[in-house]
Amino acid sequence: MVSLLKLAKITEQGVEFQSPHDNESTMLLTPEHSMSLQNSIGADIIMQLDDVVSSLTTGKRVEEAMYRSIRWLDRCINAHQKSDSQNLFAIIQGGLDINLRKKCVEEMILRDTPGYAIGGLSGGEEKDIFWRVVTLCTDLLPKNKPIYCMGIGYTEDLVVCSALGVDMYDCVFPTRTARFGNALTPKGSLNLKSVKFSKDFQPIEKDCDCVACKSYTRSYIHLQATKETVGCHLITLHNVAYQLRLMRNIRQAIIEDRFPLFVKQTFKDLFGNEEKYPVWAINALKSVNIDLLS
Amino acid sequence: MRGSVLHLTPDNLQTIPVDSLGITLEHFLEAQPPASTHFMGGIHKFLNLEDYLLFFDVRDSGKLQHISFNTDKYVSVVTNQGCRKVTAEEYVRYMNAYNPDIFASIADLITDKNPSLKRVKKSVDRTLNWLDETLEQIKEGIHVFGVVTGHDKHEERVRSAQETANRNVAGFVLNGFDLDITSKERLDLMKISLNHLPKNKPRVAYGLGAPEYVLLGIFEGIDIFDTSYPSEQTSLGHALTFLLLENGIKNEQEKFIDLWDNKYRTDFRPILNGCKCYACQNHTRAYIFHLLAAHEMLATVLLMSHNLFHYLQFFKDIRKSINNNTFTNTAMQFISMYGSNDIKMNKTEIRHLLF
Repeated sequence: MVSLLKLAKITEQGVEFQSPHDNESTMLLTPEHSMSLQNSIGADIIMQLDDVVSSLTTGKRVEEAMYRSIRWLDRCINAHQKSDSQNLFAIIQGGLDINLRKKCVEEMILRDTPGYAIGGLSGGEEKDIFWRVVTLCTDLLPKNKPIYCMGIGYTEDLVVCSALGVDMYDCVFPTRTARFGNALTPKGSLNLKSVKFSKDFQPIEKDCDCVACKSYTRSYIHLQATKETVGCHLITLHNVAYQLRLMRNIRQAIIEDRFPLFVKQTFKDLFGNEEKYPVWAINALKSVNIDLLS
Repeated sequence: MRGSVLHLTPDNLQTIPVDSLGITLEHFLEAQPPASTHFMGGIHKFLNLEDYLLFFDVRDSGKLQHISFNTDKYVSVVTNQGCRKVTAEEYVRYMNAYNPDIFASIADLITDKNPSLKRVKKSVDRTLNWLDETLEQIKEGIHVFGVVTGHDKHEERVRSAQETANRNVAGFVLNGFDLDITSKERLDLMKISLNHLPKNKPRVAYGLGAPEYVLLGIFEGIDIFDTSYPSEQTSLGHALTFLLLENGIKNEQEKFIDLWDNKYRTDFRPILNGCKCYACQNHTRAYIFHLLAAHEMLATVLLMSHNLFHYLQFFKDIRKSINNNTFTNTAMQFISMYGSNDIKMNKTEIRHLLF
């Protein structure tokens, strides 16, 4: 519900918000209605309706939202009509408050859902606090269930959170930045709108097997970027391929027992210079015995 | 535009049975010479269109940009970075570097309203001079089409057609967009030129647009048309459903459907039952309605896939009925079903022509 928060009025009953289509009619989304819709749509993984607050909110509202999310989880579980074919994930809330998060995890574990999401982050909070909340949750959540951190998508965030024990992610970043002309590569983001690419006849990323890299040069995509929809589509195709490849590489490195080396190499490629490594990432990785600095 | 088909990445373009594309040079000219002329391997490879026949023009075949002015030496072109000038000599140099299959020579197309006869005469002269320069300097193996001008002055149209026909060109282009008038008036002016062009060389027309005008254009001798019509309809959220021949698809007699309309919200049929395009084989009207309402780009990708496929099928049907000698009747039926009032008169004229 994060994206529609601005238009929303939240009560114990549910979330009432303005229809994004006509700005006039209102819709009331209750835990029960949310489950009914998700049951109809038929997805394999479905999410509880949570009472989520911005990670920058402080005070009693955070606590209220956390307890209400637990009550709504129970209502979702009761309303779920297809528990043998659709997996309902709980969403841990509690803002940036360690105690609230602990309490939420404790309670939600008792409901024994097929998986757990860490919600309410990625809203502009300080990264050094962000990772501590993530690692608290991954420490306490059961090891045999998937953990899904919502709204995470930058390369360094994906690598660090995976090191901390997260399994799944979602993010608008790769496709949105693509539409603005930015292509993601292991060495950082390329702003293909820039005139410096007008004569660059390499593909976006060497050895990438996406449609964009197999068919075109940076020069061609520069011509399209932000001017033709084809530019949006091509860079999107590349960025999605990049993200999936990154995750595949993380998995492979873990399976082959060389994950710490993989993390170090990834950061070296991305930032170049150790001085540029973000401090929060150094701290987070140190907490799981990966020493970024040689 | 910019060397790509509107909305379609290569994987989508492959689902459409098209084998030749028109490329507009305009936006390539932000830098001169265009950056892509430095690419070793030619324009087909640069655009990833090695299996296609490429037809180049400086001008967009879908519309005419209003530009400042041309001189005896150059034409003005609008790019994102501003106005650029291209001389005939530079243009030929770029074409020699690119190696397209065919290109249209540069032309002095007038964008002022009501130009004087003097101005029109000048444009015909300039265009012919540039054509001569082009033919001198172009490499062998690249075909040149001459652009027939003359605006709305009958004698100049005749002069331009006759003079262009005297040159060693491989075909002719009639750019209807320099005439800011209705399709019917455009066609009437094109007729004047067409009567003076040899029948054994292809004629291209820009600006005829809707399918009924394509049919009328064919009666007058035009062979190749532009695809601004399916592109325009796509941007309006329309899906084309007109049919020339039955082809096993039930003829619903609608020219197009407007997928913004609420009535398609729960219409789970494809755009056109029996259509073999990607959109119709995989998706429903309801889904496209949803995509439009949600402002998702996939809407235009699906609509463009269908509309282009459909428009090409229309041309396939035209060729089939010409081969079967049923074109006249089939076309007349189509025009009476889908044509607007201003061309119903033409129906009678055609009858007189042929019977």
